[in-house]
Amino acid sequence: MILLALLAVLHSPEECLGKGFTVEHQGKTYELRYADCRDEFLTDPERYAQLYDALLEMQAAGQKVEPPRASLVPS
Amino acid sequence: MRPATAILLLLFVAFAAVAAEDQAICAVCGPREGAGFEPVKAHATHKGKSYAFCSLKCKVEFLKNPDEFLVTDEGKPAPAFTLQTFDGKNVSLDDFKGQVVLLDFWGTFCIPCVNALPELQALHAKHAARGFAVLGVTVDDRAAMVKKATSRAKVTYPIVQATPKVWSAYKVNALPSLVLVGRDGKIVKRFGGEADRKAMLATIEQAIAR
Repeated sequence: MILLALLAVLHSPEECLGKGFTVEHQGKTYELRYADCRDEFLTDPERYAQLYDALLEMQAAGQKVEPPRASLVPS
Repeated sequence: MRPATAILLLLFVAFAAVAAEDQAICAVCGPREGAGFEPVKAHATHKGKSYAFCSLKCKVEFLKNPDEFLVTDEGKPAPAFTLQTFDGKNVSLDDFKGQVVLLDFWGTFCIPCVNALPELQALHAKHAARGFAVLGVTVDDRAAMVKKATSRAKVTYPIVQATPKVWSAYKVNALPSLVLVGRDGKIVKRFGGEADRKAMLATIEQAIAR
């Protein structure tokens, strides 16, 4: 049961950056590493296109693009 | 002055003006921390509304879950505040107890906000006798600019200076932000820059009639 719950967790947008699947939006192709990333993108292309553009811009600027760390300690 | 020097000087002034204007409340840091005006590093559009961010990181955070930053506090008590006018007079939300108040969060650098001033003044004047008031809450600290804009629009309703605590309490993450407070002191509805004016007027009319 726990395993099923873990499997159901979607990848974070940072983890999604990479080759594997492609999705197009307004003439631009986005490369995403996992199928769930592509499916999630298709639920709200306008939002995700902007999100991935921002992440790619951060990468290009040399900024760290890494998924948020899970923590049990409240910030 | 040589022509080349004059051109360079003009370019510098133009650049400085543009740079000075490109400041806004970050749609993430504003509601979360009550952060003030910061240089705009990124923009995003969500459901027809434009948002500004102080960093790409904030833009990413917002786009991951916009609902976290887009509040639906309708029906909840409007946060109390006492703010000052540029003349040093205190104005509290309590001063409008029993009235319908339209809080207009605005700034002189926000063109739609400035353009809306005459319409808000007309609304204030039209319904004042029925227990309705507009309260301008400017997030701008440039008194001269505020006075110029309000004088031009012949604004008679009070204009107070917002503090980070207040715009944070009202979760202001874009300008203009209009918050309608009912006679019971509860938030009736929020309106943004894309607000349908007809719908806003109808909501105000309903709130006054209650």
